[in-house]
Amino acid sequence: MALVVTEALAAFAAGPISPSRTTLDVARHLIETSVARALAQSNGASVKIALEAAQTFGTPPQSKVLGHDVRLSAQWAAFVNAMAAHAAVVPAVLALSEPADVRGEELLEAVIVGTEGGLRIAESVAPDHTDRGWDTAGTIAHFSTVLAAGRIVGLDAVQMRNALGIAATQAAGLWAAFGTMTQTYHLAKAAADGVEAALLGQAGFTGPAQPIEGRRGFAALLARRFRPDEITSGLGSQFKMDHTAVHDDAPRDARLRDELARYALA
Amino acid sequence: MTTASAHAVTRGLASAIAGFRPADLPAPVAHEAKRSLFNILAVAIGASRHEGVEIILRVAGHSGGTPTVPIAGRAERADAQYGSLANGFAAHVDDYDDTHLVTVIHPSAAAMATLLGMLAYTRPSGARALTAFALGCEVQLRVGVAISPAHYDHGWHITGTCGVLGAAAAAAWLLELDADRTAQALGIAASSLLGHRESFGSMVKAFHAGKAAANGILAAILAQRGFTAPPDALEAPHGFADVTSIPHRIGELDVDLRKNFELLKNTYKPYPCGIVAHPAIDAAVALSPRIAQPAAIERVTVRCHPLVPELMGNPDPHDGLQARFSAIHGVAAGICDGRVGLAQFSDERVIRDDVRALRAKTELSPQSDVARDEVRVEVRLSDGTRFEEHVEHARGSLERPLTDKELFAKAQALVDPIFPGRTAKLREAVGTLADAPETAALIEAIVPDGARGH
Repeated sequence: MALVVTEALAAFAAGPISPSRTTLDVARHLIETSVARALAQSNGASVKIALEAAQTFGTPPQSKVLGHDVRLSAQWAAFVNAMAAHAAVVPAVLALSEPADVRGEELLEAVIVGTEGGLRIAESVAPDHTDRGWDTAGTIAHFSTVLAAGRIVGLDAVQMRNALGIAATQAAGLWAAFGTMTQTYHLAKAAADGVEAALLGQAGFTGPAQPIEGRRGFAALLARRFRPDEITSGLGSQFKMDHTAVHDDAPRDARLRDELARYALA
Repeated sequence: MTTASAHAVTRGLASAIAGFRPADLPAPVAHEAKRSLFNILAVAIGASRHEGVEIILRVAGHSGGTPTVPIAGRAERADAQYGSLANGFAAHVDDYDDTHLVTVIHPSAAAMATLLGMLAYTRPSGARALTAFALGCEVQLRVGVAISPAHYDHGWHITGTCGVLGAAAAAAWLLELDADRTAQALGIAASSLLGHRESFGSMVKAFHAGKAAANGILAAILAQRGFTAPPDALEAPHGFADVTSIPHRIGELDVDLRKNFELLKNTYKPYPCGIVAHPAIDAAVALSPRIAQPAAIERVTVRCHPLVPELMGNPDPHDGLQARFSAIHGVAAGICDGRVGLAQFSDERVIRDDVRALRAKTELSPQSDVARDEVRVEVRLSDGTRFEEHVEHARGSLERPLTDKELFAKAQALVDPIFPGRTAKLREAVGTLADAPETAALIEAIVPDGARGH
């Protein structure tokens, strides 16, 4: 099983999916929350600095910065919007959706593969990945954003695997940064790197075959114990993110929802 | 040696960076920095037509920003992020760059890419440019020493992880950030570390050096504007060293940047592949003239350091990239061709019958009593004849460094196919950099004639 983890994730993210109403509802909720937060926080100090920094690169006006009359390249719009939204997946998807002119359904599907893939990877290395000092908002978010971004730009399974390899090697974010602006930077960097990895993968950049499960890959370096079944078991047929849906004011699985909040919504 | 209190490593380092002046660079260190810069620019020019460079520049073409950054060997420019990515990638992709042997860091790729990436923002004098490059290397190496060998042994590609910190240091210094903001830049950079050894054999390995530069530049630009980060990111519990490298000696990091330079221990690769295979390739090249018919070989036994099979154990590579991780290919090609350069790692050369046959007869025999820069190679022919070659110190090792002349010959072989006759101009531009009021001559030496200098 361990041999097929990255390949299975790539196939899942690039292939057809049939999400249930619950899954779609969770995705819609993530989009609404992320956008609302990004708009509310668009004048925060860290967001303003991120925007200024991104503007120094003089990027083409491709995607809107929420709450500002400014457009940046998809990568840097994702960076600034993620900083404001305290979320990585939705800003990455929205930033790429604008130039690609995608349909609403595709947008939801991209949020779903990113969220579901990230949640499964988080489960596979929990809890000692976090105990060791890694912030999942930076580490896991690199996976969720590249899966979502890769789907939006239409990567095939091989390109998706390459893009996962580019993103996996950048999974980072230290607990030491908690309480500083760099804590939110973890999410923003993941959003920008996920978009960049998808674009490079699309252009033919190649990565390792097993960036997650390989001997010197993500799981081996950033966690002591790794349970690949958490990623592959039921992938495509069952959606763990369904358990984070809120019913009667309480999520069905509070722990999973907390995990989701950490890397997707913070 | 000056060690900060274990609780003030990042601050101590940041203070030393912020207070550093070009005059603090001792002459021997400036000389080694020039050798490193000359070598890395030649290597990057040599790799400037690599498919990965083409891909990065293609993405930069539609998603990148203002093209301010010169790309070694190319007429195009790119923005500070994609330009750094392209330069750092090209500098590392052929595995022909420099190596600090104790840490296995290849410091120049990220340092050079950071320097070129920051030129348009900071317009440094030649002396400041050379100093920034040297600082970029030195900070990587000091951190690397403090977390070695655990860091690399765990599986981190130390060129990427420490590269981000060196890049942030060089970029912060070029922006003239004060000690506090330099510490913030290092803190942001520590949370942007990258590089798993799993990527060896794919384009992602060289991506690490380029992205390290891009991340370091971003960290410095954010810090310049007041973005906050932990002031103790290197040594904090759940900081850079603790999370990636137990056991480490981060508290012993020598923060006095004006002496005990690790950069003086930088070495330059004579062969474009992993350095642990170099003694074996030296031996193969030496044996080659004695063997009239490689087809008559029955067995080649390489008695080597145990890291050789660990890092370069691929017995039968299928393309040039895989061959860079095959000591057996290096030996077979060295015996067949009598020389080992980029040509011996081309896809076509790697799959030809003569080297494939010889690879199948070559075995790595790891020995606990053979040093890392040593090897004994034995060749046995089918008629019973035996040849043996013992290399005590590989060419390009600290005990046997490449001479300036050898370095020039290496650079020439890389630069000539792209810019015929340009190597002397490059050497001149790097050699006089510290006295140049600006970096225009350096840029003119690395881009095509007619491409606008900076």
